[in-house]
Amino acid sequence: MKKKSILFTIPAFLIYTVLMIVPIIGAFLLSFTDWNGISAAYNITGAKNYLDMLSDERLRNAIFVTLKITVVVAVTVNVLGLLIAMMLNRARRMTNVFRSIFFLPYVLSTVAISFIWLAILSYTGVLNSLLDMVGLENLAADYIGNANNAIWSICVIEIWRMLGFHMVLYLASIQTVPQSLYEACIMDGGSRWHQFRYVTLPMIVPGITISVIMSIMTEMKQYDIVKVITNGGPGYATETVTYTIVTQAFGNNMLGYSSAIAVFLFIVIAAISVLQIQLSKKLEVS
Amino acid sequence: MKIKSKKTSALDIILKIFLVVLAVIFATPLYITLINIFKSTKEIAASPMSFPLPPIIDNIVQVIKKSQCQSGRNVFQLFMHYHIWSVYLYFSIRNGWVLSCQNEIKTVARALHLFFAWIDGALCNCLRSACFHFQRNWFNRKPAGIDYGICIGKHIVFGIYVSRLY
Repeated sequence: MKKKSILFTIPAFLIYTVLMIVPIIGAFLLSFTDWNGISAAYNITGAKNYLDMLSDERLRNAIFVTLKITVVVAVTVNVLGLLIAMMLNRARRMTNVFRSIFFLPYVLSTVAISFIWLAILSYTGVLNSLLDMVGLENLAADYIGNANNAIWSICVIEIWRMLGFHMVLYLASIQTVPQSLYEACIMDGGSRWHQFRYVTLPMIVPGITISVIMSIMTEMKQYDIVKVITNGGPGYATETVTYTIVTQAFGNNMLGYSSAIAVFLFIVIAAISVLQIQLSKKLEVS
Repeated sequence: MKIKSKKTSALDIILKIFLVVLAVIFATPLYITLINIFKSTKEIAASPMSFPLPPIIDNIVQVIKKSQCQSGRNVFQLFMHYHIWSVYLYFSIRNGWVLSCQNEIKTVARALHLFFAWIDGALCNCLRSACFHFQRNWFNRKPAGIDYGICIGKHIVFGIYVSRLY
């Protein structure tokens, strides 16, 4: 059985290695060159690309924007996802309806979602029309064209898209907690808060780890929504690190430099994942 | 015989209202999209939330008719992709699950977990674009392969995740 399992994995492992790992190593090597992505010739520039990153104002802004989106979305989807999962776990009627409503945005294509929200949030869009209809025209604003609002609009769309996925992860974790533990807690006079704090929470730590890591990774790589909704603008207000990478690589033909940023992002996300896994291991209950 | 009635606290009611409000907020964009398929551009601009009365199918007809939309080709591709991906997904998830469930090969599962999750998780679009480039030039093949690669890794990890939960 052991050998069989490994044999089953070998084809996937090989395809993955050839299609992913080899090109990634290639991209890592590119980060030490000044290749423009078109010509056959390039020079090896050593660590120049990495040093240039330190003085790049645009990249610094992109890092700040990415961190802002990551923190807001990751915290919201995890807190709300857990809360909704708890509620749906208790509810009997309509559970499937609610589950479907929350999960549906995740199934849809990100680009399609972005176009829906573009129609809702644009200055002449649905939201402003609705506010106008109910006499709240004072609240009408330019949610995409205004630099302060645009980043929050991106966060709202991303929360709407990702919440269902994290809710399902939490729901799966919660449903694995043995009922006997809750009964024991009630016998000891534990309130609902105690049940959550001392039974549910410690038992779902692996689920929390997975959900938090996944949300951080997804948001650190945010690109599609930014591209369709704001195109990085107004100015550079919503430009994320991934957006900068793509712009530098294919807009400015600086594939070497953009590879260096990509490697940097890779290291940051890997470091966050390791830290998160180590931290969660300490909290896990066997 | 006493009939026990279930107590409903104020917190329960507040949470239920919160859930319903949240569900309405979540469903609204989907509702807008769905109803606007059956409305003309003028109607959408005038009243985006109103129900289409009478509903029109001009938008759908246009999608089918327009050559730029390539509806036939897209449907065929969707059909092919669906079947290929289903096979990939099934085997990937299954492998992840089997590996992780077997205690004696936990090390292999862990190694694969790191291998797939980190590489895939930390992969950003530039590396992906670079992958496209290398695939085109080195392997002389369609870059779509990269998606299968990503998919396999993701779902092996997912299988491992799921088996950890249960």
